[in-house]
This record gives sequence, C-alpha cells and structure tokens, in this order.
Amino acid sequence: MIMKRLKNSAHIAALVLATLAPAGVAMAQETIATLRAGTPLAENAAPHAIAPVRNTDLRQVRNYPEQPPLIPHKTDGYQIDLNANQCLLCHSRTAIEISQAPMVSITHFMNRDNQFLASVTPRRYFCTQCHVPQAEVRPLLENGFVDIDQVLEYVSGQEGN
Amino acid sequence: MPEDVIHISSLLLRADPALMHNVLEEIAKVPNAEVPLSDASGKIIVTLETPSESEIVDSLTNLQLLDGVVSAALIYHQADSETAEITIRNSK
Amino acid sequence: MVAITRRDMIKAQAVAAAAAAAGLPLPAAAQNLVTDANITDLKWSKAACRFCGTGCSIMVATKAGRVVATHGDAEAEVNRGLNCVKGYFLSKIMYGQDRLTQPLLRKRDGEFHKDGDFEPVSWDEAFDIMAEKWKATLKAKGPKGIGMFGSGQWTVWEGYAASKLMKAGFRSNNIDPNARHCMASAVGGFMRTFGIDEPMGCYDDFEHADAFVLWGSNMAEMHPILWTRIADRRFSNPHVKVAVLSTFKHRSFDLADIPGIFTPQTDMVLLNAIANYIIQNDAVNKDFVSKHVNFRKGETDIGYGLRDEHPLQQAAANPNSGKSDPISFEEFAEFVSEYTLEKAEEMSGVPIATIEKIAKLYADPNTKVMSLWTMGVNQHTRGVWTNNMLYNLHLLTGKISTPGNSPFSLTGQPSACGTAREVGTFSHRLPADMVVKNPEHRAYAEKIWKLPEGTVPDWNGAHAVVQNRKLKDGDINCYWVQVNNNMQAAPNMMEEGLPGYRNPDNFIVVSDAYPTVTAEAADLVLPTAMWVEKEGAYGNAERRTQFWHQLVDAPGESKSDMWQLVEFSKRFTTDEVWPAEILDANPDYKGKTLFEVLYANGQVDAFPLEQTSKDYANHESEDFGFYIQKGLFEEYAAFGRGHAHDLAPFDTYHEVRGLRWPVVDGKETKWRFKEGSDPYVTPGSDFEFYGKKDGKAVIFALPYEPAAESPDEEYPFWLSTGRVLEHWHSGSMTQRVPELYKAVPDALCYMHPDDAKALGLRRGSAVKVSSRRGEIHTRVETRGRNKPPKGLVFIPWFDARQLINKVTLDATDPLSKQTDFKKCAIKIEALGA
Repeated sequence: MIMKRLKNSAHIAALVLATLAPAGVAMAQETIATLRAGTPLAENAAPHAIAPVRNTDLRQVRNYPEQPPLIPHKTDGYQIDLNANQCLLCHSRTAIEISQAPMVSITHFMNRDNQFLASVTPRRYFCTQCHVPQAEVRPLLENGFVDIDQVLEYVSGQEGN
Repeated sequence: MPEDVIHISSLLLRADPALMHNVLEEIAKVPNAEVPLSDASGKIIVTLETPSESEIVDSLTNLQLLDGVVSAALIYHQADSETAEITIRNSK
Repeated sequence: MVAITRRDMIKAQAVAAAAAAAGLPLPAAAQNLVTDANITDLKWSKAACRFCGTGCSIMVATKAGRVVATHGDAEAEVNRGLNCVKGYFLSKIMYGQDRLTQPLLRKRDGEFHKDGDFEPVSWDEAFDIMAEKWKATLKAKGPKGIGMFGSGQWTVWEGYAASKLMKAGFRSNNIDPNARHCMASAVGGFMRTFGIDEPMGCYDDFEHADAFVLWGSNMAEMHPILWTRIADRRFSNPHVKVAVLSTFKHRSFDLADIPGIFTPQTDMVLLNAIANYIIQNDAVNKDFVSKHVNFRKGETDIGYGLRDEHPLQQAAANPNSGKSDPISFEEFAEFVSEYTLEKAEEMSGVPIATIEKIAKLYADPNTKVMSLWTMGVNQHTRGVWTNNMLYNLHLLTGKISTPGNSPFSLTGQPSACGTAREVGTFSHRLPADMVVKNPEHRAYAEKIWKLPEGTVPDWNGAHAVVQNRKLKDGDINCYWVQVNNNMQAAPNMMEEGLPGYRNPDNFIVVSDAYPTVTAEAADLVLPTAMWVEKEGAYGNAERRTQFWHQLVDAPGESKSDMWQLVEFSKRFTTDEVWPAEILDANPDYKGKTLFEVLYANGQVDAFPLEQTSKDYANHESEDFGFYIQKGLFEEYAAFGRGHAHDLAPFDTYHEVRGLRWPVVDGKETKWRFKEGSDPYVTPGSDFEFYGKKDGKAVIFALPYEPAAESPDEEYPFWLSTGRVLEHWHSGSMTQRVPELYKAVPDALCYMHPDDAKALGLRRGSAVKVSSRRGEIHTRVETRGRNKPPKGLVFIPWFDARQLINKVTLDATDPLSKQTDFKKCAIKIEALGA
C-alpha cells in the first residue's frame, strides 16, 4: 500500500479508508464475503494450487520495529525439537560468521525475568511461533495499515501547513 | 550481500538513587551511549547505536558492572540497514 | 521532504519502549534527541490481545489516530514481553481493505427483501426495520421467537448488556455464545465435579510442575505463549517430562518426552486405565480422598445431542441424562478395574509402556503434574464426562490446587471465561454461575437489576446448535449475531445453518467489522467497532480480568456491539414486550423504554462522564451521557462480590496488568480451594471445594462410549478440524493480514502419505472431501506440520473458501450441548481436472 501525498486532511484514518474502501460496498451487491471472491456460500470454488515458498533470502521491511522478521527462505522439514534446533545452525551467535545469516536478536537471550542467559532462552526455542515463511501468493486483500514513517510524514506535513 | 547495518537498542538500568550522579557520568563515557531519560528513583534509559549485536552485549555488561547500577535489561533492539531505507524512499 | 531520518525514528521507538517498560513518562526534554519531539512522540497504551484465551498483554502505539505498532508487554505476568506471530501482527487486524463502514440491508426496489442485494442504509433505517421485525415476532410468538448468538469475544460489558437485554428486556433466554462450541463441556465438567466454574490453578503452575500431560491439545500452535512457558520449564529443568497425547502428530510432539497417538474417542479409555493404575498401585492419596472427595456413578447411554428423531437419539436409553448416584470408593475401584493397561492398549492403540509412563507421572506422589486440554476434550460427544475423568486423576492423587499440581482447562477465546461464562451469556445461565432454572437465582438477578419479580424467564433457552435447528424449522424468526462467524463455525452448515439463515420467515442481523461468511448469509449487516476502537475488558483462562482504553476511532459509521445493543433498547417500551400481569403488579414500570429500565436505572448510569479518562476517547459514553462501561461493570460485579467471584473496583483494572478473581481485600487469588491461598476456604479445612454444599469434589465413574459417527466402508476416514498457529478461528481478522495470509494461505487436507498413495493421490492433488452432509474441495498435504496416522485426516477451518463445516456433524455432548468437531466420517476422492 502506498500512501499518496497527504494534504490538509483533517484525519488520517478517514482519508486512508476513503481511498481504500472497495468500490462495491457503495452499490448493491449480492455476495459480500470478500474472502470467498464471489463464490456463493453453497458452492465450492476450485482450490488454489499449493504455492511455493518464497526462497530469495532477501529480507523484507518490517511493518514496525517490534515485528519479528519474516523468514525469506524455505524451512521444509526443518527440525526444531527436543534434540535439535536447525534454525540455530545458521542464526546462532557463533554460526553467523560462516552462514552470514542474521544473528538471533539479543532479546532472545533474556529469560522471563529479563536476565541474560549464556545462550538463547528456551522460551524462544520454537522459532516458528513468531517467524514464518511466506508463500508466493498475492494477498487476498490489501491491508490499509500505514507505516509509521508515512504517518510521521503526514504529521510533519500538517505541522508545516 | 554486504549491508551497512546499525543496531539501535534501548536499555533500562536501575541504579541506586544515591549514586545516580556518578552512574550518569560513567555512562557518558561509554561510546555510542546516550541517556535520553532518567528519574530520581534510579531508573535510567540508555540508548545505544552500535555496528553489531555483540557490542550491545559488551556495553550492557560494562554498564551492569558500574558502581551503583543494580540491574540492567535490554528492552528494545532493532538492526537497521541503509538498503532498507533506500527501498522505502524509492517506493514513493 | 521529511527532516527526520529513519534511525531517529527507531531510536525514538526504542526510548518509548524503554520508557513504557520503566513506567516513565516521556517529557519533552527527553524527546529532543530526535529532530522534532512533537512529531515523533508515540502514545503507548496497554491492551489485551484480541485472539486466544491465553490473555497476553500487549503495548499498542498510536499516532494521528492510527495504530502504528504493537509489541508484547514486558510488565505482564502472562507473556513477559512475548507474543506469537498473530499477536505481533495485531497492528494490522483493523485495517483490512474491506472494513464495513455503513449498515447494509438486503433490498429490492428500495425496500427490504429477503432475496435482495445488499445496499447501504443509515443506522436509523437499520434499527427501524430491526425493531419492526422484532416487534412483529414478539407479538406473534412471544420471547421464544427471537434469539441472539454472541461470543467469548464480546467485552465483559458487551456480554453483560446483551444478556440483560435478552433475558430481562425481551424476556428471552434464547441467547447463547459461540463459547458453546468451545468451552461448554469444560463448564459442564467444572459444575459437575466442583459445583463452580473455571480453573482452580493459574499460569504460575507452569513454573512449578514436574510433568505436563497434554490431552488432545496442540498448545504449540493454539496457545503458543503458554507453550513457551512449558518449553522454558522443560529445557531449564532436565527432570521435567512432557507427555503429548493426540489423535494425530502435530507440533506439540516436538517437545514430547512421551508421545502417544490414540484412536479417536479412546481418551476416555486411557483416563479410566490411569485411574485404575493409580488404584492398583496403591497410589491413591487416601487422606485427601477421605476428607475432600465424594464418589458418584453417572447414568450412561445418554445419546448424541442430535435431533430427537435421529436414530442414534432414538436408540439411547437415557438421552441427555446427567443424573448420577453416590457410590463408594470400592465401587469406583471395581468400576474402573476392567480398564486394564492391556485393554487400553487394544482400544486406543497406545502401547502399554507409554500408558504406564504417563500413569506413573500421576501416581508418583513426588511428581507435580499439570494436565492441559482444550478442544480435543471439549469438542467431544462425551466432553463433560472426559472433563470429569481428568479431574478424577487429580482428585485420586490429591494433586490439585497447589503450585504445579493443576488440572488446567485451557480456553479458546479471549473472553470465553471473562464474558461468556462469568457474565452468564449462555442460554441457561445468569452471572456468577447462577442458572435461570433456579427461582432463587432469578430473584437475586431481578433484585440486582431492580426489575419486577418474574421478569427473568424460567426456561432454558435454545443453545447454539438448537438455535440453528429452530431457525431452519422457523421457530426462531428474529436473530442477531454479534462478534462471531457462526456460518463458518457451526456444524452441518448445508443441512442446518444456511437453510436456517435463508429461511424466508427469518430476519437475520449480523454485527461485524468485516463482511464475513455469516454476514453474507444475513439480511442486515451492522458495521462494528472492534478491539481497541472501544474501551474493553476480557477475562482469560486463569481468571485474569484485563482492561484497555479506546485507543483509536472506528472507521466510518461503525459502532461497538454495546452501543448497538443499548441504542436498540431505546426502541422498545415495556408495554410492548412485557406481559400485562407484570406491568399491572408494577405500574411504575409502565410506558418506560427498555433503555430506561435496563440501563438508565440509577446504577448503570451512576457514573458521570467526568470519570472517563482524560487521555482517551470513549464514544459510547459520550453518546449516552454517562460512563456506561463503568456502570455496566459495577452493576455486574455486584453479582459476584461476596460470592467467590469478587472483582476489583473498575478503575483498578485500568492501572494493573489484570487481576485473578476472586479479588478480596485488593488481593488476587492464585490457587482456589486451598487454605492459605484462597480466602474463601474455611480455616482448618486445608482444602475446601466450596462450590459443593459439603465442600467435597466428586469423582465420577463413567465408561467409554463410542463416537456418534465412525468411519465405515463408504466413509472410511476420520475427520478432525481445528486451528493453525497463524490464523485465529475463522480467519476473519488474520486472513486480512497479508503476512499471516502468506504464511498459511489455504486450508489443506493433511493426511498420511500411504493413504494418499492408496487413493492414487499425492501432495497437491485436488480432492473432494465429503460426508453424509456436504462436501468441500481442497488439496492434499502429506508433508506438512500435521502428520495424521493412517485413517484420519485433519483439515483446518480458518479458510472462508473451504467451509469444512459443510462436512462436520452436528452431534453434541448431550450434557454440555457442545459440538464434536473432532470426529466424523468422510471419504476423499480425486477432483476431476
């Protein structure tokens, strides 16, 4: 979603919604369940093919700094269990010189009481609870979330006027 | 690909209120550290801009060892790269 | 151009996060480290996560009326800074492109028409047609002709306002929450065993237990943050053991020291076999049992909650019977003695050695055991029984109500406990565990509500599955669905749900933020404010009540569920909806609107607008002219205070990260029923299960009984449905977050590779999955995260394009009325290209 230059708008939320609102809602329509893309409730659409996983190793911009980074590669069959954590083979502190993968964030070394441990805390052991790969598919719908940079640009534009 | 990465982090220190002055002076000597916020009860927020994660850990260790510091905890950490910035600017 | 660099921004975020964690305000001086403090300042506020029953607390950053970031709340006991991937993307759930912003009514030629197309209308027009339909139905059929279906996603005061409007205003108990699909069997288990709802333990048990036993639960995906606490405990303390029992292999098995795959429905066999093992090996805590436990034997052959004319119902000897008779310990021992380890292995398929390992965890007096379960046990045609049987193990060994010894019923929805259960939005309940059938309870409710005697009806209303049946049969004609997606959730959609909603005699209203499957099946759709677009409160699975403020405005004309309910009440007078006898006996109530008697009653409107926060908007209170959330909460809290459900004063909850009830003298309760930790326990009694009159919990003798439908020649596979980590429930929020959608875009049929091969299928093959009731089209997955044994498939239900509830069976537990979504018989065929 790209926000165009915002000028003199009283309220950013209203403006974003106005630009994003699907045209159909303003008119009469028979089916509204957007996620079904027009297939009537009693019928079954052809199932999508299983999409391949994005495997570019290119990092994606985060929506905000607190967002866990997405996994830019395949993880099929990765072992993360009682015996081994395959992700750490590349992402652990000592592995990154060879792998050149990003090191696990040092927040991951903190235990429940905010103390640093010698290694990754077990509470962060199961990587896929927060980090997920991405299938090569188009989103079902656009999302109107506005990046903080763009919100601030809007705010500073308001200040300047 | 090589990236010009910078690590921005914030730490929350709890210091002995009686030794606050000394602690703040010592923090000022830590490279890349700033104190944007502190209060009389001994809470001190430190931000770090470092070229790597390991330096965050080093600084954190150094700060923990300062006289008067009771505890130090990492609150926030983000690695930021120039490439990401360029991508964003170009997208407009 | 912007004068601020991206790094300054990040730094400002870093400072703000640290300041939030430290509880420090951000003074202007501190913000000078960035170029313009006025611009970069973010407002961080606490809120409860919108998704599951874990009840994580999060911090929400807002700027210019937008949510711009969220992160796990470092101060919160529940999650200590962590979120699961869904929680980390909360910032985006309100911004799906297709948010509803105006009411939509099916119209033809400018007027409402059941088969018309959806057209935008004003709130006035929407309420006009609703009121017209409600009044006509109330006149023709009385209160039983209307119904409402709500949710454990209602905030506490929304559920309370809804329950009051239905039960006291319209005098109809035909209100049920979707928690019926989720937690009803857990409630039934609690009430039967303990006489009082909700877990005795709390999440602190995770850091104390020596062993965790998962009964049919996949916490790694469904309760990930609680799973982090188990992983932490297990890895940090090598003596700790984790046992995972399920009908198929899933992510939780990655942490299992003791894994076990059992044949569907035979969890009951395993539970009785372990009870028998405990008795045979002299591991019964005799002192505890003699002082604190009664034994009873339940009636059996109780049917499957199907329509009365269904052959399975006709065949049952004691349909829907929850009766039981007292027995002795010896009789109980005799009853379970047939459940030997050998028999258990034969029936369940779990090796004797595995069963014995788990039995020993319970039997060893020095091992503190936490049992954990959710939908595997609750969505079960013997769900109440299975809950009872789980408590049997903990009661036999006295492993209960102490740190680490904890039978723990996990919750699926964010406020299944806080709203659906505690507020009493079920068709048979009132607040604080009271029930509509009990005349004293009704009188108590009428007294607190300042309403005439006889206002609350004495009949059990229609529950979730029966509501759909009654819609289809034309017995309920006006129906209002709020904050849930039941057309996608309720079982047997093609034979019951869809014909019910589209029955020409019925008028269906759906309040939602998004145009869901349920909205499409409706006649009128009301655009609804969600999550932090309103002031709210949720109660999680450990009895923790958490509040948040309204942080941003809802888009367009969206209004909260509570606003809709209270505003609608203004359109009715008592004369229109109450019988003459009540009004003649209480003439003061004549000619009043329902708004006046229910909400402007001197209690709900007792707190002036000035008491709302100066720092946050509160649109509903501004509209009604008083602090309505506080008024509703305080009136509701009167039910539980002094009755072992004590809640703290309203304002307290805006300050703290939640408190676990009962909150007595400002102190929360971690372990109920145990002297020293629960103020309601009589001194000197050690343990007291005060939900029962004699203070004793009940161990039930109950047998294994088969599932309602099992695979046969024609339909040779078991079907189990459930969730996935990345999507919450029907996916109406998470499918609209592109990152979560791309993580798991489509539902798939997870099956054993040998089963696929035998059918000439392989990974990615398009298939038709059908039951006796309906079919869906999907694709085969043989290598995914779920690895079913031969003969069973798992298909999740988040995907609006693949409505697996067309296939599921509407058999319920006859006691709890909760559907069994984990067991029905299906066949799988290649889909022609």
